[in-house]
Amino acid sequence: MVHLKTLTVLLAATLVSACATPRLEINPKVVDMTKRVAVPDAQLAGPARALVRTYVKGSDGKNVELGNAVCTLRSREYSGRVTTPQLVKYTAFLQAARFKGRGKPGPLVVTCLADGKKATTTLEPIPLGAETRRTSDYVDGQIAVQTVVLSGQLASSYPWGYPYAINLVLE
Amino acid sequence: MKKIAICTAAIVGLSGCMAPIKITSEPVAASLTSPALQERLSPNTMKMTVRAFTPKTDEAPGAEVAGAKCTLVSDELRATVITPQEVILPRFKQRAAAENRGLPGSLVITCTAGELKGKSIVTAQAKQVGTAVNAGLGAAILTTLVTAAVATATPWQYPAAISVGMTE
Repeated sequence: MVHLKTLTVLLAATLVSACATPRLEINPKVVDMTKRVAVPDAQLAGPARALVRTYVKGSDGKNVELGNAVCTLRSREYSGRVTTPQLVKYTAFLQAARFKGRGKPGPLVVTCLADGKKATTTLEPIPLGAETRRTSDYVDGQIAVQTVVLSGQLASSYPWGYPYAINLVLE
Repeated sequence: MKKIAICTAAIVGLSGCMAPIKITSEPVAASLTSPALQERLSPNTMKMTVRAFTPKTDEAPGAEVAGAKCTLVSDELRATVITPQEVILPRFKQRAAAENRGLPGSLVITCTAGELKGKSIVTAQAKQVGTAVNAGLGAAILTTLVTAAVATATPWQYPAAISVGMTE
């Protein structure tokens, strides 16, 4: 008998109070990602966002947030440029068997530069809704972390997107 | 490119104190995209009510839209309704041997009414729970915990009601 892992949903909410290390204020302008290719409406799910933050290693070895790093984001479908910390907006993709490759978009390459330091990361698309979601940027002065663990089969019907929190450590 | 707003798929999405518009038309049955899907179906069907709404603003409350034409599309199903209307959907057997335990694809509901447009996406669950992928899409909203025992034995099904947000 197959042990159930299917619909077990674990919801963990952790609130870290205002004494947590303050984060830099997010640039109020949300950047609209530019489409590089035409995607049929039938393959589009809806708006999604991601927040790009950059860090450097402090003298104590801990990450210290660094603002005003210029980051370029580029995938097969989108491109964009932000000044950290800043949000980007894009349209997520439907995941369905009727689309080639289940409609999965290309990976997103993010490259950031600041003060002669650089970092690059490549983000594979993930089913949105099955990711760990950080809501800290909506809760002023607090960090709220909500973890939603979904089974593989449920994730197979969620739209494709990229992780909400895109954090790079510049070196 | 036309601006298509994708709004909240609420499980019981009737807003405020407004009474919902009475449904006067007969339910419409969704069709299968392939006859081969028949063997995946559970004997029982379910009804989903499709309604459309304009969003609430500071100036005006949201209002239900009657007469919006909505197409429902998934990998397995197709249907068209005129809001508010019920659609009869099959339930899909949950089988350990099948890919993704037989989970059907997400159902995309696209509505138009004059200049108004809207799109909602709902995913099937193993119980009558509300998973709505909303406009934020940052994460699905999981409204109910499903126990392991129930989840493995229950056919996959979609929510009993869906509200599609409409904007110009």
